[in-house]
Amino acid sequence: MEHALFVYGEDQELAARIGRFLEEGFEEGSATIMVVDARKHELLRDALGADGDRVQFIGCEAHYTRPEAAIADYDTTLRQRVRDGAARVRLFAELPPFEGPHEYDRWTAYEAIVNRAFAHHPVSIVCGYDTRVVPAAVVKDMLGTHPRLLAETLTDSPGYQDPALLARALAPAPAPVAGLAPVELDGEASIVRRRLRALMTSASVAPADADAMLLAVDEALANAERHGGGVRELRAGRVDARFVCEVCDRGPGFDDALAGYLPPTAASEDGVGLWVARQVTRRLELESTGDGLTVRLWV
Amino acid sequence: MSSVHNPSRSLEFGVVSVAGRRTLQGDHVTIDEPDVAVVVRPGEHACCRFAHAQDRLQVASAFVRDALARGHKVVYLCDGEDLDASAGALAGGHDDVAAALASGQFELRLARATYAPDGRFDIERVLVAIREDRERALADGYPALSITGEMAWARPHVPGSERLSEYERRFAEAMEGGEIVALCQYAHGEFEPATLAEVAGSHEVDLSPELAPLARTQCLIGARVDGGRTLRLAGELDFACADALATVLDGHFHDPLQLDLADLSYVDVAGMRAIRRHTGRPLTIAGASVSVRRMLGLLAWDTDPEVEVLA
Repeated sequence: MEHALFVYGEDQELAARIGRFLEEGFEEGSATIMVVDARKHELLRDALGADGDRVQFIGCEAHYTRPEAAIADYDTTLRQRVRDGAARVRLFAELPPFEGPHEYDRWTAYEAIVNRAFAHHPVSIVCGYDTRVVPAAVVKDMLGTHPRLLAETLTDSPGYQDPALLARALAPAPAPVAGLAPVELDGEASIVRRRLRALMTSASVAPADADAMLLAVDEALANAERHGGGVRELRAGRVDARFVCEVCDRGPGFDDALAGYLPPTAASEDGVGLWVARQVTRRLELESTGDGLTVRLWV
Repeated sequence: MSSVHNPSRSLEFGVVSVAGRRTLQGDHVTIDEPDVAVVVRPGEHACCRFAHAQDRLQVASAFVRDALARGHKVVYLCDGEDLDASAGALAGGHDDVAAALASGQFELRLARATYAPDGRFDIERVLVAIREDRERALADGYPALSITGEMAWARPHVPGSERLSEYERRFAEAMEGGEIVALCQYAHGEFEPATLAEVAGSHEVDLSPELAPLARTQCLIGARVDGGRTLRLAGELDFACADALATVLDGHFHDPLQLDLADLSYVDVAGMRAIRRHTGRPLTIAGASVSVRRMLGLLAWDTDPEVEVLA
C-alpha cells in the first residue's frame, strides 16, 4: 500500500496532478477509483477526457459517515477489485467538510489507521486536502498521518507518525455511563442473549439495533471468556436516545488504539470479534480499570 | 378452529421462533431456557437416529413445539403405553403443549396401533391411514400435518417389519406435495446397522447419531441432507457451542465441506471459525441466513475464492 497526501488550493492544480495520477493508473492497467463530491468528480472527469468514465466514482458525503464504516467499505471495494482481476488499485479520495475540531480528530485518527488497515492491499491512495475548505491546522495534522507526500513527484513525509500512537492520542477519553442495570449472566450465552433481547424490546430498541447489540455483546463476552479471565458483569440500559451495554471482564486489559479497526484477513487470529463489534454498533469504547477491561457498546 | 394459536414469527430470518421458558415475576421477566431449534423444514421427511433416549426426546419435543407454533395439526406416535407420561415428557413444563392437547391440535397415539394394529405391519394400510390423517387435518383447517413416530415397535419379530425401508421410501413418494412434515425416530442400537443405513437413505433429512452432541448444546442442531453429503445446521451457533461443532466436523466430515446454513438464525465469529477451521480448503455454503450473510461480509469471506456461497 502507498498512502500519500496531496495539498492544493486551486481546481486546476487538482485536475492536472490527480488527472496525471489516474492516467498513470490506466497505463499500468490498475483499477481506478475517486471518492470526491459531485463537483470535483465532474472536474476530474472532464480533465481525463474520454477516459473519465473509466474511473469508479464514489460520492464522498455518503462514503465518509463514520470511520469504521469507511474502513469496511474501502476494504470491501479493494477486495472486490482484486478478486475481479485488478493487479493494483489507484484511489483518489477527499473527506467531505466536517463541523468542528472533534469531528476532524476522528478523521485524523482514521487517516492514521488507514496505514495499517489496508497495508495488505495492492493500492496507491492519494488523499486530497483543499486548503480553501480544510482548516490549516487539520492540513498540518495530516502530515503526520500520511507516510508520503504528492507534489510534482512522490516524496517521504518527514512528519509521519506511528499510527497507533497517533490514534491513541486522538481517541477521546471514554466517560463512565450512569443508569445501567446488571443483566443476569446465569445460563448459556444464548439465554443471556434472549434476556438482553427482552430488555431491549421493552426499552423499544429498533429490531435491527437490537440484533447488532446482541452480536456485539456476544463478541465482547467471547473475548472476556477467551482473554479476560471471564465475565465479571454485563450491564445494560437506555442512555437518552441510545441503548448502551457494558461487558466487564477480570483481565488485565490492553492498550491498543487500533483494536477492532483493522479488517480481518484469512490469517487474522485475534481482534476479529472487536472488529465485528465495532462494525455493527454506533460506538465502541474500551476502558481499562483496576478491576478489568470494560467494553462499552452503543446502538 | 379457534384453538389454533398464532405463532410468533420472526420475519427477518423467515423461521418460526418458539420461545423457551419465560417466567413473569412482578414486572421482571426471567428467561432460563433456550429457544427451540428445529432442523426439519415443512414438507420434509426426516429421521432421527440418536442413540440416547434423552437426545431423541429433546429433538421430538422441539419438533412438536415448533409444529404447534406453526399452527400444524401434530400427531405423536408413542412406543410406550403411558401416553400421559409421554405427553408430560414432551411438554417439559411448557404450557403450549398442554393447551394443544386440550384443543385437539396435538394428539398422542400408541405407535403399534397405527403401524401394526393387528400385530402385522402392512405398508399400504399405514400409508392410507397417514394420508387420511393429513386430509382430516387440512379439512379441519390446519395448514399441514406434522407427524412423528417412535419406531421401536418395528422389531424383527413383527411380521412385515422386514419391509421397513421400503415403507420409508414409499412414504416419501406417497406424501409428495407438502402439507406434511414427518420425523421418524429410530433408536441407534435397537436396529441392525444395515437396516438403519438403508432407512436413513430413504429420508431427506437424517439426524444421524454422530450429530447428537450438537443438539446437546441446547442451542444448535444438525442433520445430514443431500444424501448425507451436506451438513445442515439450525439454531444459534455461538462461542459457547462452537467447540462442539468443531469436534463433530473433525471426527465425521471430510473436505470439501458442504453446509446448509439457511436455518442458522444466529452466528458469531467463533461460530464462523468452527465451520472453517482450516483455511486453504474449500467450503461450500448452500443457503445462508441473514445472520450468516452479514458475517460473510464482515469476515471478508464474501470475496474469498475458497468459500463458495450458492444462491
